[in-house]
Amino acid sequence: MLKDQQPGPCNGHMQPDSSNAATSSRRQFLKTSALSGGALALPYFIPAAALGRDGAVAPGEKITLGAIGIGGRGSYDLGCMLEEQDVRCVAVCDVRTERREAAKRMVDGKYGNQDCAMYTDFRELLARPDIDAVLIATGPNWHAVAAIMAAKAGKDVYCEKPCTKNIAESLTLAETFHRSGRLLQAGTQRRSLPNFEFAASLAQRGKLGKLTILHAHPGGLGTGSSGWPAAQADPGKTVADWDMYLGPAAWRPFNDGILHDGGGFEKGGGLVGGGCLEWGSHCVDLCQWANQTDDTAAIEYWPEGNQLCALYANGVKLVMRNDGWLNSGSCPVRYEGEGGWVETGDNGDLFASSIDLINGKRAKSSGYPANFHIRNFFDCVKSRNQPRANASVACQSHIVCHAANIAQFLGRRVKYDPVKNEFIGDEEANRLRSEALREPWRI
Amino acid sequence: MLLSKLKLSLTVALLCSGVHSACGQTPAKEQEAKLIAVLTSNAEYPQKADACRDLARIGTAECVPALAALLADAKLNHMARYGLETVPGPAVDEALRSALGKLKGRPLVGVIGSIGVRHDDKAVAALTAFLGDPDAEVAQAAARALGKIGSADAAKSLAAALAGALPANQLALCEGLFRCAEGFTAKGQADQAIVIYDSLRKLKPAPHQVLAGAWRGAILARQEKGLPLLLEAFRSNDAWLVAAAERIAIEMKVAAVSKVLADELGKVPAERQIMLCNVLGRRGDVVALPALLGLAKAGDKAARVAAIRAAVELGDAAVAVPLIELFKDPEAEVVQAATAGVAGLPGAGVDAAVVKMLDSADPALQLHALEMLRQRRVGTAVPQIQLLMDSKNEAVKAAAVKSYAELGGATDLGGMLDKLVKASDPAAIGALEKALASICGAAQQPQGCVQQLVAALAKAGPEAKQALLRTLRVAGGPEALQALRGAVADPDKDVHTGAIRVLSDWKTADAAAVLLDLAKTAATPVDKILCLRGYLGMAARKDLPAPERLAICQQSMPLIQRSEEKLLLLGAIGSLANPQSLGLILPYLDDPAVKLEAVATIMALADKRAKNQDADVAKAALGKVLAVAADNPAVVKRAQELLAALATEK
Repeated sequence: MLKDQQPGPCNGHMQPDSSNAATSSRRQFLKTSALSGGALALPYFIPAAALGRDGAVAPGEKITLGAIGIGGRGSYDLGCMLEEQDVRCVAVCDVRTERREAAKRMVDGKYGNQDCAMYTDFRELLARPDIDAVLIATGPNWHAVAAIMAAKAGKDVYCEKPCTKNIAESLTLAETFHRSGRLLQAGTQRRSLPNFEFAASLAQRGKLGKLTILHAHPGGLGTGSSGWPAAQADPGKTVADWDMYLGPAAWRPFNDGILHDGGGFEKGGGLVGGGCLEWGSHCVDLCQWANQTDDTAAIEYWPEGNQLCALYANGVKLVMRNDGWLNSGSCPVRYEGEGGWVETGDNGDLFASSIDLINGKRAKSSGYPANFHIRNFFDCVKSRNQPRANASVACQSHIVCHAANIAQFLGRRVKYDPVKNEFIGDEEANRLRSEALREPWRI
Repeated sequence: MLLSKLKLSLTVALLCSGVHSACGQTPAKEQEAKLIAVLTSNAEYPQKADACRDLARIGTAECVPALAALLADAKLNHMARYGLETVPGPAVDEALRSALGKLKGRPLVGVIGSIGVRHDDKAVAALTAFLGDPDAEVAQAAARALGKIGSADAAKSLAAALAGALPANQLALCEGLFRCAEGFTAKGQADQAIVIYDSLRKLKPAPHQVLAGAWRGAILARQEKGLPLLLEAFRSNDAWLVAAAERIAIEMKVAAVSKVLADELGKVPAERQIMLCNVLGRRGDVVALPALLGLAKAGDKAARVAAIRAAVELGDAAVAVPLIELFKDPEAEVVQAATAGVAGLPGAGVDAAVVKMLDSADPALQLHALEMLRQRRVGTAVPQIQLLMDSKNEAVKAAAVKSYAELGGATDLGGMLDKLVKASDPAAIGALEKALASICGAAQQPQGCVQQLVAALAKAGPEAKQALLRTLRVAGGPEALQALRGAVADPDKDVHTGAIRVLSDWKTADAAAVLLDLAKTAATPVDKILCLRGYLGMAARKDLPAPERLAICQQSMPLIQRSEEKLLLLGAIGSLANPQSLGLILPYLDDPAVKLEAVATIMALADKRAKNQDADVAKAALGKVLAVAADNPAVVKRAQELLAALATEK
């Protein structure tokens, strides 16, 4: 199984933009605005303590943070967040005692005190009115439910990917964040990295001509449920709260392997499983961006050999494939138009049909750090602008992945109506859009 | 007992086979019957749970009794609902409703949730009764389920319950009401939605997220009639409400919003102006352009910058000229925003407006234009940029060269080379050289550059010639190397020395033969040393095969006289990690100036030597080390160890 590993310590390197970046786009402007800081970009910040009742505005106050699910990826994210000078983490939550205590040590060590509170049940953390924002880096099984509950509790959310397990969760996620006025930043950090942004801008600005085919690395195409692990003796809640770990997923007997390395557990949920969600939540999302279809999904999906394909209403084809990439590192994408193509990946390099497309110097990231994406999130918490990978963006890119997984699972072509959010004349596919959650969890 | 268990598991396995595959060949009816049989058998939990999953995909009314029977099973309740929730038809609804009166606690919570998912409006009365349940999870589940059902009766029940709700249940009741209101709006029953939203707007105390949602709904449901409410929210002193208004205004499809907010721009303080600009930019409605451009010209600095950015977001080429007029504004931030804005505006019309700026008599404007043309990559502006490469203003001239370097292709070096050939000012030559290097370094076919550079060499004076030679190194290739070799014979001393220096720093290994030749035959000792050092540098290149690097070391030895080059050689030999080269080092053990480095190199190579590899050479070298490094006990000890190991080799 491919894993979205953290690129070491949170020190995302970005070489400085040595000035001749190509034409700045609307997004570039927004980025510049967000990254520039200061009064122009951040007109106000409402701290949790104000609760909106007295209109208090305290720009100097820090964003108070709670962190939920602090394993490998969560520790990396939290490490990045602790580096932000305007953020103060006050609480951590994990169902595993060992991780919970390690997270507390990490936070307390940073601040030089013993103030960080610990929780096993994230609902207690969400109930704290002094917390503005939460990091959700649990296993993927929990992402949507926890993020939705956090929004209902009035928190802004940075949620690791994949954010949802099925189409219904994707829609409810977006709906809840819209309704509550809370902000979601999906942990699709490549939206905040310069090479991916530049490649997308070439597509958006017509530099590749009319777009024809988008290519995304899915990281996997296999579908299927997480199955039944071998039963082992439950060590009890002093070690880990297994029932809480399972959460909305179907009950299973305790299994230490899942507890310690459950990144793939119930990733896509149900029968269909994670499939192309692993990297699709990154790479398909980047294709959605390039195609300027952040507000909709593809209309047809079908397996084709060892690839998974989709078609957008604008005629652009999406190809999810695991091989045939240039030497661009992990999570590559490729955008092809009638006038040229561009390809890029995690090594930060850009490849193109013509040197003219990528000529000139520009900022380059090393690896795939999340700190720029995290900074964008906190800037938005202050400015109330929508983050780069906001709820609408995440909803639609995840729907494309889920619909593609359903086509792969069924082994045939399916047609999707992105307005009604249903498969057209296809009850079998429609029944795979949602699944019942284990009580008492709900979306 | 064991046998019967085995029989059972085999039966289950047979019953389950073929079911998990979506592409299975078994007809759905037959599959369903098998799955029902699993549920009604004594199968283990995992098999029953899997059967429930499969029924979620293919089940019909036939499977409802078997699934419904599991609703009371504390362990299988969830999976029973898993199967039932997606099965079409009223039988499921009847089964779930029927279970309401028989369950308690979490199984009841689960069933209530499933009823909500299925939007069963016949369950409203039963669910309403649960709104006051002492079990908070039950009451909250009922509130959410009623919201999903979303009928008028459901809304009435929720509103009534909210009036006297326990604080713990308030959010769930609000969520239920929100869902009802959203359903009414979707069905075109905005009046009913507005009643709900208005009631939630007045809720006290209420969490900010509920108020934000209520205002959002109340405004969006009213459509154009919601504009006064939107303005009220914008003008509020409640920071949450203002933030909500900003988001709602972006979301609102009503065209009049932009005009109303644009009119508001002139009436509010700077902080609100910034917010309004943000909204107007996001809405992308050109009706706001006059107001934004008006603010961009005068007012609070931060608000002006926000107005410029918003105007740019509208993406209209007409913005270009007014923004260009701001390039001379005394406020640096305003100029920066206007420049960045014009640079990012799309369209050929904007390109033309920027090109026209080159005609200005004002060098500041020309500089802005050159920078923007470079950022916008306006290749068609190259002829006009070339003209400015002769500007009397040095800053303009340098900027023109820089822009030309990025926009002019490798096939069109002529203009720049002409200027270089004629130039005498070192700064101008330096700028042109930098630009040429930039073009040649990025050229896909550098040979095209080389031919033009070589042709220019014949016409160039000494200063320009040296710049051309350095540029030839950037372009590289055999023709460039040949030109450099020729330039060594140039009668001008500086050109000659320049050629030697460029050759000694050549970036590819094909210069090795030339460097060796010059190291032997060059006219002056300095030239010889420079070429020898360049040649030795080739021996340290990891991209060359090891035998070639060893050959370079061997060829250079007779030419080396100074300690500096001896040290270079030892470094190169050390990087080879080849015991064969140990012999080359032996003479240096007798040279006091480099003896220590020679010992260290020998020890390093001997350490890396594989067993039975070049044993004789190693033995000789280590023996000599013992003789010359007697004053270093550590070296002596290690050398003896290595010799002892050598003695055991065959």
